[in-house]
Amino acid sequence: MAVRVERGRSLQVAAETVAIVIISAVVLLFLALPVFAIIERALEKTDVFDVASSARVTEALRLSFETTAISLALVIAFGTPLAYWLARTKFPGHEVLDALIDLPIVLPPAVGGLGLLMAFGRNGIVGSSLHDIGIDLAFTTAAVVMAQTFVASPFYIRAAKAGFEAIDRDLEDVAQTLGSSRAGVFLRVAVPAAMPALMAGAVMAWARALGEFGATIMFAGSFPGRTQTVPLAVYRSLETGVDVPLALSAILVVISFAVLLAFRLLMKRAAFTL
Amino acid sequence: MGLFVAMAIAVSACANDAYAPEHTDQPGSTSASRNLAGKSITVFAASSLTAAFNEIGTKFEQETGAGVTFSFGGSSDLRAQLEQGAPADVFAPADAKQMGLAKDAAVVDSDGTIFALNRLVVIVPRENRAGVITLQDLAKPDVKIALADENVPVGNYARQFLDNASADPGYGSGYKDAVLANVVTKAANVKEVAAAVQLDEVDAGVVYKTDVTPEIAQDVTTVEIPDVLNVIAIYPIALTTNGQAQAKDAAQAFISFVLSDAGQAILMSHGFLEAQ
Amino acid sequence: MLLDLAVRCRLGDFALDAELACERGPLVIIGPSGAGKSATLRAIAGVLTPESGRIAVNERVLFDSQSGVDVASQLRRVGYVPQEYALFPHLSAEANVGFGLRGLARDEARARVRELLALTGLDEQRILKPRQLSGGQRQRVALARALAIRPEVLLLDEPFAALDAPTRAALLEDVRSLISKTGVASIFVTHDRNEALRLADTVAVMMDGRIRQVGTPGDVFGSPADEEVATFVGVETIAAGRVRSLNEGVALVDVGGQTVEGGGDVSAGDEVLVCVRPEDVVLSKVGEIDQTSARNRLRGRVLRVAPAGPFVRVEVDVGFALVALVTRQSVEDLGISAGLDCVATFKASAVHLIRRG
Repeated sequence: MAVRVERGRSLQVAAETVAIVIISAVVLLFLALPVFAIIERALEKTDVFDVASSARVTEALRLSFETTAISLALVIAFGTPLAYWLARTKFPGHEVLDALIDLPIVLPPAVGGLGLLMAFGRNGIVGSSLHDIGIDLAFTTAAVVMAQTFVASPFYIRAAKAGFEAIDRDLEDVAQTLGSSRAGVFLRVAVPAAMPALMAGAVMAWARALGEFGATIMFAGSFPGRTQTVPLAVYRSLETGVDVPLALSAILVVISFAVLLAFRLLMKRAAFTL
Repeated sequence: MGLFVAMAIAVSACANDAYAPEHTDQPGSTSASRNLAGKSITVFAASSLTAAFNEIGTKFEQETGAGVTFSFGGSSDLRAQLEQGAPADVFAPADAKQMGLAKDAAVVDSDGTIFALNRLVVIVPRENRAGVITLQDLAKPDVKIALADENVPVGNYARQFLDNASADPGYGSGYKDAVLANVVTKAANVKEVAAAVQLDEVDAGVVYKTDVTPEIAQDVTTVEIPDVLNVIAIYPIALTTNGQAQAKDAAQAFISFVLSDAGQAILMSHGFLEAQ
Repeated sequence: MLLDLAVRCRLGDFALDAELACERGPLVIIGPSGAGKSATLRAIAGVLTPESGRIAVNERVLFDSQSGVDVASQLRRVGYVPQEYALFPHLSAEANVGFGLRGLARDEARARVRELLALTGLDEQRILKPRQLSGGQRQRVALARALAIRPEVLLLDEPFAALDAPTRAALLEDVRSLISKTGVASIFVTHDRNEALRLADTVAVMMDGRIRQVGTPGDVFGSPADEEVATFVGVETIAAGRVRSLNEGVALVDVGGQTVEGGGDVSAGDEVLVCVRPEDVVLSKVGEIDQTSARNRLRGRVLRVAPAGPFVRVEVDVGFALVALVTRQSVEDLGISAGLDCVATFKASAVHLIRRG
């Protein structure tokens, strides 16, 4: 009797394992295949290294990485204190602010771009005043940064806020009794303690900024070297043939993967020393 | 009527007779083409054809009972989509170059039939705070210009116009470079250029004369381009190779309708020039 | 270690009243959960701000809503050790200890940290992170961290609650000697009576936000001030009676139809509560007693027998409910079971009388 029951159980376990393996394989395949296909086709169809060194490609890559770096810096610099404040205070109407911060995630990027135009374009609510003093933001690299920051901030702020909320309040209380000012508590206790969440949020924000298309094209337009980031360049160059977009995409895939992997390993080390 | 259809098919089958425009003095369609009822086709057409083709489509549906769905966009973008396998039955780009590329990629079966012509025009926002009155003003410093990408027909045409102007002593050989230096964005299609001017986010844009529609007329002012410098845009239309086999007759009927008196009248009412 | 505490404030619906002068420390505040003990500590530390009231420690006013005084936590010079120690997870033990020493010169700070690590026996663990430390080690880090800033008063919230029994026992001694070595005024908070007994020189019982009694452990546990305190400190027999007469300080009390002799600050005619600790009651079989010095020998019937750890709790009806704590062996030897007739004996000195009304 016992043997039969045991066999039945191990059969069940085996079946479950097989099911999990199959499902995982399908998911992994679905996610990995397009990426793999890009690299494979790029190497096969084009002279990747030739195309890669062309001005169009290097300009787009440089622009993308420069603008996303600036956007990320802005998002972190402004988003971290904001997220901390949101996590610590529950003033009346804070739900409205929370919803507002989440809005860019829900809005189609083109809508976001139109909004930026209406606000900061030279006829915009703020933009017209800027125009009067000689500052025009639309169609500039600054506009690219603004569009990226707009769409990427919610990802970081949400993650950071959750990270700060999860911190044991006793830590901050004790820090205060030990003489730390509120700013000191924020910098020396809250931020380090929430670091895993902050880093995860930063990665998501960077990823969103890197892939940003709709808001960028509306507010910053598309001009090589100035506002034509990789997503814009890939889409635009598709019209002339598939080799430039393939090469560009392949490079972006490789670099992005390297950055994400490096981040994961870094996180692991950081968590270990935590 | 059947004769007309046969002729139209014969003409479009003559690949070497690419630029022979077709004119028929037979009246529009008759109930003989009612057997298209229930069929539905997809037409990829240049953005500049939006208003005119929408009207043509409605008429076509009324007369034949076949349904038409349009996808308007930059001609080069549409062609790229066709190359990637997008299902469409008819392709109508804004220049022969795109049709040629499409034929090279074997997504259309011929160089097509010319059905309309167009001209370029410069538009500026009504406010015109940059003070662009003449075409020479486009070369002034700090003037923001929107042009379509050079791979898009109207972008290509615009640059041809700039070449023409640079050869003219009235503008000087540096004209094209000066104007291009003022370009702040390379739009994906002509409607994007028009929108940028309409929103007063740029100081000038080069579009087709037909793009100055009643909807945007009050927001923009036109600066004419003299004929001697202007470029004639040529619009061909052809059947695609990956269209639905069972709708081929409907697609062909659409092309014929575009080429018919009725179709031409509609095009002209929207400002296109006759394909003579 | 003189400690003068004046806490009287309002926190939401809760009113805290803890005014006392402690001649000999450490002070241990005990009470049931929800009594407001932790809230009191937190209010003193400044991490909880009352709506109104006054908080002063050793004449130093930390909070006074009337005159608008609210000294910031950072400046109160209190060493606060919360219940779960709240060690900074991203810092090593020595970094934790040195956290509050920002204002000092580098060498000074380092020396102080080293001093405290040595004092708490954590030299070898100084570069380890909290998650690599045992519960007892973490507690010592938290203590060292609080002591590093040379606080005027040390506040410890249930410092032994998170530890297992053997660690707790060992640490209790260490902490007590550490406190006396550094000489800092300390306030412990606990709900565990035994901890209070072992740790405190002064015990304060807090219930419902109010301090009910302050005194030595003997005072509080032997002579609880009122019925509620008595219940909390573990007096199980509390019966209502009336003082018939007083004879040389010893009162004769009519209770439950019996006469009990006991001590207390009472006068003839007083309505009183008779309190007897179960450990002080001796049970014997009927008829087997020699003359003893115990003044109270009451006959009754066993109502209930229930195990209580290594002992057995026996409830006897002697006219009122009397609880005795005896060993299992005794229960076996005497054949104690429900329904048995027996004699309960306890000394007059074991009887504590609380005046009622």
